[in-house]
Amino acid sequence: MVSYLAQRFLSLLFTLLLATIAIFGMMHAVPGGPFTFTQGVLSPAAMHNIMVRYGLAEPIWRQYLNWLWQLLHGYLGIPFEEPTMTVNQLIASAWPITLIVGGLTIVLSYTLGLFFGCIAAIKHNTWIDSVITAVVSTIGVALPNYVIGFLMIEVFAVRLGWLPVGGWGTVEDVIMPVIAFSLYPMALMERYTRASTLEVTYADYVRMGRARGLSERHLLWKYILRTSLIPLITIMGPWIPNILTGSIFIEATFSLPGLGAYFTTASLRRDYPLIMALVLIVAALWGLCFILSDIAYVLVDPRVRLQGVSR
Amino acid sequence: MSDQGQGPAVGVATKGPGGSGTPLLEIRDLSVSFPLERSTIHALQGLSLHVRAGERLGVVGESGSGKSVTAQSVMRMVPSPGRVTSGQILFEGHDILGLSSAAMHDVRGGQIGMIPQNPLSSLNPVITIESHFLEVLSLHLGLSKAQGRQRAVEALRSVGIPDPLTRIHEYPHRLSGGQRQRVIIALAMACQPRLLIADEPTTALDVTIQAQILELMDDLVASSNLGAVLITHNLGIVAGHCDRVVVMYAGRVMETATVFDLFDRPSHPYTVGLLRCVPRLTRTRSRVFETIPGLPPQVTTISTGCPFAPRCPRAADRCRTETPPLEPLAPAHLVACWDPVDQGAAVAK
Amino acid sequence: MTAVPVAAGPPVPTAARRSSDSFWHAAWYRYRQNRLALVAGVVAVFILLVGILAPWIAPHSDTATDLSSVLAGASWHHWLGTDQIGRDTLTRAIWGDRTSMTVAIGAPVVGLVIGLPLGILAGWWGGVFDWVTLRLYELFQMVPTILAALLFIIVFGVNVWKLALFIGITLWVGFSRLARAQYLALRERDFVHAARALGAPSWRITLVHILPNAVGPIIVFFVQQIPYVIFTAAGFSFLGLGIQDPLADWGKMINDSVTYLPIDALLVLVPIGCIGLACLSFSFLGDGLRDALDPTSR
Repeated sequence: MVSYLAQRFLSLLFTLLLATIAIFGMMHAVPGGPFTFTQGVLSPAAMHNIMVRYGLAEPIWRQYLNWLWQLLHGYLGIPFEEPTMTVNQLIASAWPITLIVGGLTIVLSYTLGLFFGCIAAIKHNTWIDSVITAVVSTIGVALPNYVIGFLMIEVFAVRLGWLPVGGWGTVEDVIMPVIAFSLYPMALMERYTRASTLEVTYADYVRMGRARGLSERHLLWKYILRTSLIPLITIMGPWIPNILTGSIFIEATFSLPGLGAYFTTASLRRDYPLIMALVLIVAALWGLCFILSDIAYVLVDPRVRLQGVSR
Repeated sequence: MSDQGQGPAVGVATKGPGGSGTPLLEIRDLSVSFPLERSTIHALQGLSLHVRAGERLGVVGESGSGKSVTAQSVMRMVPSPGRVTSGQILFEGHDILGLSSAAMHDVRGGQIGMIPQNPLSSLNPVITIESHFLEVLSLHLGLSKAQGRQRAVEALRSVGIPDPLTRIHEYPHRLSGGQRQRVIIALAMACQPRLLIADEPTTALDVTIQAQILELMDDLVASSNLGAVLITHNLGIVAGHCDRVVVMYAGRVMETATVFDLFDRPSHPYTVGLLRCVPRLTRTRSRVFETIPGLPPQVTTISTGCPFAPRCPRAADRCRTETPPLEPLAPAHLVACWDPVDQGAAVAK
Repeated sequence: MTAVPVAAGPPVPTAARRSSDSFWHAAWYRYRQNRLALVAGVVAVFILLVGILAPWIAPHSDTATDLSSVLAGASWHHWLGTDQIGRDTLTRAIWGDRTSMTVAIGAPVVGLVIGLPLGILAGWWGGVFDWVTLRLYELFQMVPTILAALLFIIVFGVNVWKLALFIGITLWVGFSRLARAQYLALRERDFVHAARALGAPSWRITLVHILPNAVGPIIVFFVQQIPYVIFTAAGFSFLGLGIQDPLADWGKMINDSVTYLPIDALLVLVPIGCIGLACLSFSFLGDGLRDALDPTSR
């Protein structure tokens, strides 16, 4: 187990490195830097000073190594757009918001998705199944979450005034973004859960359990659900980092000061330190979640051994 | 153990047409059909058979003859959309088809044990062998964990699994196919049922294991005076391990007799054809495999007439229009044929 | 045992059997049974046709502005009203259909073109090639697709084709994985062994023998990506990063009309309705295809 973990971590680091190099290169490949969009037109001398100040005058590979060196010291640089803060501070102030929304979304969408999926599968071929599948699938899939968010704002905030229009600060601010964000993952979760559970319902060992007289309830919990939920780990795992790093669309719609907004503005303004930091966080989260879900799989399914797990 | 594929069985069964008293299991005129989208499949049509305690009944037939559906019907586990359309199934005199759900759960495993075809997929992969036993033992016999554990170890030992104390804690995927089948047999026997139904229990195993499993089952049946139904398409197995035989075709019984009578004096043309199909190691004359021309039907319409008529070399007009009833040719030897093969002048092999 | 003459005659006709259905026939039959999928299929085809025929069926010119009737509601002249500078909403919606559908179909095509060969090679050859491919998957999966596409847009600019390309690039991993899994499984099948034993070259086996068998789930996956691409493309337009004026796509129409919501709700509802219809129909189409092509998944 230990050697396996070590192996995975090393390969994760390696891939992270590659990812950062790729992004770094791409950012610098395009003409125009962070200061070509400033208010006025700067004189060449002023421009040169700024470039030197921010370390942008050096050759690219040097810049990358500088960044890497600083990173190893836990320093992510200074964002160009907010020179008074460090990237660390900026992220520290924005990410918790994204995390809260993301975390709540995961909890809501996963539990509801699992619940509905199980019921739909158990009541397969009855109206309950048809209704659940139709409603849940339709809701999640018909409209993009930001459009739904927008409609929700219109109805619940503007027309009815029950909930705030946007911004961040109170408990109510969380409700609509989380609900809007949860619909799609919930629909997907319901679908996968239903499919997995259905597959197991007709399995030989379930029938044999029934042939031994085991009650339907016993069969449901110990035979069907216990095994149908296992494959869901490989599905649930990779979504988590996606959700935890937020949706730029949702954050824009509800005016949430989270990471998503920064990503958009940072990209637009070529704010290299900020972009690199964001990419790094996202990539690291992904890698971590992959490893964790592999481990969870091994713990939950006695048939799986670590060596056999390949992505 | 008889040599398989050597023609008429050479004195095999250790009991005579065994059993005594009222039948343990009696199926009367059972019909089961599967209404599908485009048609209805009549899997069983008026099937009748019986098994006594201490007796091993073989049920033989090709794929699609309805053997498995018969087993499923007794357990009331016919997969939907199948349903029993008429007939009775009496177990120890009680009508199984009329039992409540709860009562049926008791019957399954507690009174009737089932051994399925595919041991590799018949055990729950995420619980230990021990758990499998504890489940049924506490359910049917009300045993505590400690008692259950002990019973489980004994059960494993009795089916010949080495080192049961450690095996008990393992997961099914760690055992080989043969071992899993033994575990399943042990599970089926664990709650001391009175009837065992084995649906092609050795088809998925290799030949040496097959022999061991079948011997094991014989021993268990003999020592506990169980009734057993052995469903198979392998005539050799029937010859070696059954007391009586039922030959099925297209959801109906074609012939039923003791093992001796069936192999010695097969009377239904289908049975005759089946026996001819078994390749003989000693016959040097012909080098061609015998077959029964044609394919078994998918029974989608209830027709009158003998279902075997299209393939029968002795078919007459009557066979195509009137369904032959199952009638006794000799005591305990019933045939459903208008013109059964006369075995009076039996030629020695 | 007495000798019983077994008639040596011509093969006896058996009870009537249906002529064996080919896989595609059976799939089509199953698909037809599914009413929801049928309807969805018809709607999806309709949407595609509207997009293709846009230049000929749009009632007004795409850019013509009729400043005399601005933000008008539905009328005989303008079936779905007009927008803030007098453009006919129906026309905009139709042209938006064309734009959105170009991206919605183009992106999965890009993903397919990149991902399929890689997946086939990884699944068929295995070994080092497979190892590298798996690392590539990890690498590309680390950057969430939306952010990656966003970066591309910012770096390289955007128009309809670029949008399709960028989003398409982020899709390749899905196609590749699927193809790889299919080929890994089918590689071991007997018909492949038979082909090899007969000396068929690899390219022939992979393309002529295996591909038709593998193609089912790939088709389903393709169709399932369409709603996702519609979302994403519309999302970018919603943020102002997607299609630019004077072109329209549905996301942009929503974005443009949001400020006028209190005055003219129809203007917002039309693109929302279009997106919803498109997403739903392709989603259900995808489900229907999946159920038809793989009967084991109920």
